[in-house]
Amino acid sequence: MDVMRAFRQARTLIVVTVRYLLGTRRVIPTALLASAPVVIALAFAVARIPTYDILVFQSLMVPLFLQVVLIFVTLVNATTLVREEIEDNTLPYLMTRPISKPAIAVYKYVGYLVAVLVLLVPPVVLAYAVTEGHSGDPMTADLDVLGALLLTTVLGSVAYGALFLFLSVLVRKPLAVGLLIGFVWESVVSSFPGDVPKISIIHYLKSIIKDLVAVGPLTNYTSDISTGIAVAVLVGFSIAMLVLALFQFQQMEFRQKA
Amino acid sequence: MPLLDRRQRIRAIVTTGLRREFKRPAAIIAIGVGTAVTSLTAIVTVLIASLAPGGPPLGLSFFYSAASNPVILFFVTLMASVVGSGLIADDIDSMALTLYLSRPISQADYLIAKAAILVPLVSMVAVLPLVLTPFLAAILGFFPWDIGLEAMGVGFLVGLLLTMFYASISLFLSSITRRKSYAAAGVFAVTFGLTIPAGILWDVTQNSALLLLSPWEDYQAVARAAFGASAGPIDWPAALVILLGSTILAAFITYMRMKAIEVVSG
Amino acid sequence: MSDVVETIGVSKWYGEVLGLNTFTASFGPGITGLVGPNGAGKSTLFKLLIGQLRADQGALTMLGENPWNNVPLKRRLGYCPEHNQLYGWLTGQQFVETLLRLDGMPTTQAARSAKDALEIVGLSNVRHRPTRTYSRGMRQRAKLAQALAHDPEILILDEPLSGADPLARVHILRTITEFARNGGHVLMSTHVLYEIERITNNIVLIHNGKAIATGDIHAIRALIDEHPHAVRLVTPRPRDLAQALAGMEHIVSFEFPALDTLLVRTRKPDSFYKELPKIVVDHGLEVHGLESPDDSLEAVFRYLVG
Repeated sequence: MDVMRAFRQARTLIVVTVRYLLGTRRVIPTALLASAPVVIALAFAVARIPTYDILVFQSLMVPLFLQVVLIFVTLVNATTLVREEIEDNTLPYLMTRPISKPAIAVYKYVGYLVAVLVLLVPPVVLAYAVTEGHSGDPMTADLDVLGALLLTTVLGSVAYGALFLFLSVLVRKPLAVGLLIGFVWESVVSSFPGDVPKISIIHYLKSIIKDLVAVGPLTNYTSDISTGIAVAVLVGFSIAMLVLALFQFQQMEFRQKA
Repeated sequence: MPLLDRRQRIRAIVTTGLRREFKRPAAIIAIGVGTAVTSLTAIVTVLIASLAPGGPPLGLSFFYSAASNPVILFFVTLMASVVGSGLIADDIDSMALTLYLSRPISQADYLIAKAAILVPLVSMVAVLPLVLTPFLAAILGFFPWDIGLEAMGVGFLVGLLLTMFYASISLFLSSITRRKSYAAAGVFAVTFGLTIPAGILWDVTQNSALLLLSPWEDYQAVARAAFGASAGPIDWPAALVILLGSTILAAFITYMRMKAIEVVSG
Repeated sequence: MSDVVETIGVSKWYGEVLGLNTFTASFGPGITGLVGPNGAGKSTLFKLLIGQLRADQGALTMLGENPWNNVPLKRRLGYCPEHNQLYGWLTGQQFVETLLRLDGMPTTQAARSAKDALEIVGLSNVRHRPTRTYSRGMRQRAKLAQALAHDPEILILDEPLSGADPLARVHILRTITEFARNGGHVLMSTHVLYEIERITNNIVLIHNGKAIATGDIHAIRALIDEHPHAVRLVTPRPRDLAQALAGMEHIVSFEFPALDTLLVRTRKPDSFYKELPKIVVDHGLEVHGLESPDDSLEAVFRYLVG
């Protein structure tokens, strides 16, 4: 295999994907939603709410950022990687290049990860900085909270992205299915008894936060999963979803839209 | 041959749209399941509450429990996204909009027709349960007819308010993109992206005005007042103004966009 | 199998709809036109050749190889799809350059090749504009540029003239002809029959998913002897000319569609053309015009599909 050629192809497709996801008009709604934590944190700071502190910040970030913003941003971006190319009839341009279908999907997925982390990480850091600044604490005071949120943001982007990518090669309407999974299943699953919550990504993300953060709203979250195990499960799940997506994509036939 | 009048032209768009929706499995499932689930849960909730011993006297406020059924929120969001998201977006994507606008059909008529497709379908999950529940309760003898009829009337108006809000929002979102999946995601984002933060912010700050951000909380405030249930955290006049105002504003912006739209082909 | 493209008994189903029906044909070197009505199976065949679809039955090869999931083969292939969609947010230069870089070309070389390809198709002056601002003809040319830019061995062009303005058509046909002259192979589908006739005699006629005729257009026409060849002659004395020609045994019929026109139907057009001048001169007649409405692709196709 020509390594240089593969590297050039990878770099090209990653850059093009990032440019598309971040450089076109479609980024506006996702960027606005991703900035919600910063906006709210700033609003609290400007309104000089005395009770706003790192605990309140966490109370905000878990349901809003992890369960709404993260899912929405990853869903909208991951499902476009392949499905939009099919719907827009631009996939033939890629498929008639000397690059295998699995490689196309992998490089686009990497591009998605870069784009989504650019969208999601800065607001988390900024919202944290505003919170610490407002409550008069040094920036290093609650690094466990920041670290936990950043880790869950990265792992959530990886896991949800892989899941939604697989959905997008499996079904014709991945966004609809993704909305049901992301906003319905992921929301209600923790209410189920027994091990049912383990059949969700959000359970492992919450377990990481519970494990890493000394004091927070998830301190009493029902989970006995350590950070290491949660990371391993999420990474393993992501790899499995990616492999399935690549396999499915490899076998797919593309009848263009009329 | 004389042209058909305006009503006929609108009816033609409505008929085409409804025919198309009822051929889509997703729409059929959403309508069928949504109607069944919301109606059944509303009926069961009210009837069980009315049968519970030692409860308050049977009155109009009992039917608030049907209106506050969270299943309604989910299915209304689902209906608006499944049906509403594509009503205008599909026409933009397929260039059918150029065909419509090249006919003697004004943009207002086009939007009225699209709303006439969406409103009945959404009202099957937002209005029907609130009307059917008191009707069944009365006909089965659980409630006197005067209360039943009053509840049906109030339920119709309250359900219609929620229906119009979601119809207006989903048509607005559908008009700003040619990809209906984005519009559908936008409908979900409006519901969850406003309702969840509003609840969190209220929990944190105990400032009930923040609940006004949530369309669901606004609707419940109005429903509480309409059914005579005990007051909630937010005032119903402000909630009503916000819901109506958002509905009218979204419709107006959609109309202005349609007036300005240039469909670029090629 | 040694032709550029060979298909043997290829069938492709879309659910219950048969896209290709035991399609058997060979496409030789040079330019070959694939002609057929809408829904005949042209695009289906091309999608099979570029590996976008997989044949349900039969075998097909391009340049001796099976195209399905064949990555190295893609290097030798240039494809111009039927649809007009491009990456609208990229400029023409970026569009072609990006695809060249996906071919594995280094950045500088890709930029240069993209510029050259766009110059060939006549888009130099708009190459820095986003492709969403391009007219239909420009999009056609941009698609052709990306198909040519990496110097493929074979071009597969699905309706490359569709929607193109006259200037674009000239450019596109000139580009295709030049490509073939330099040793490339071209497979091109089109409805614009007179234009495919301008650039090639090699055609494959497709109808209802089947190849109904392949080869030289004139040879195909000559084979259709149950349909006599029509020749229209413009002459001031059509009846006298008919009388003079009546002796030819291969003449089937005479018609007089106008006062100065004689329509002759003959089973042996070559013999007719050979004998006609002597008969005209010997009888002192005049012929001011001669044309064969049948010696066209459209007529051939009409005869074959009935």
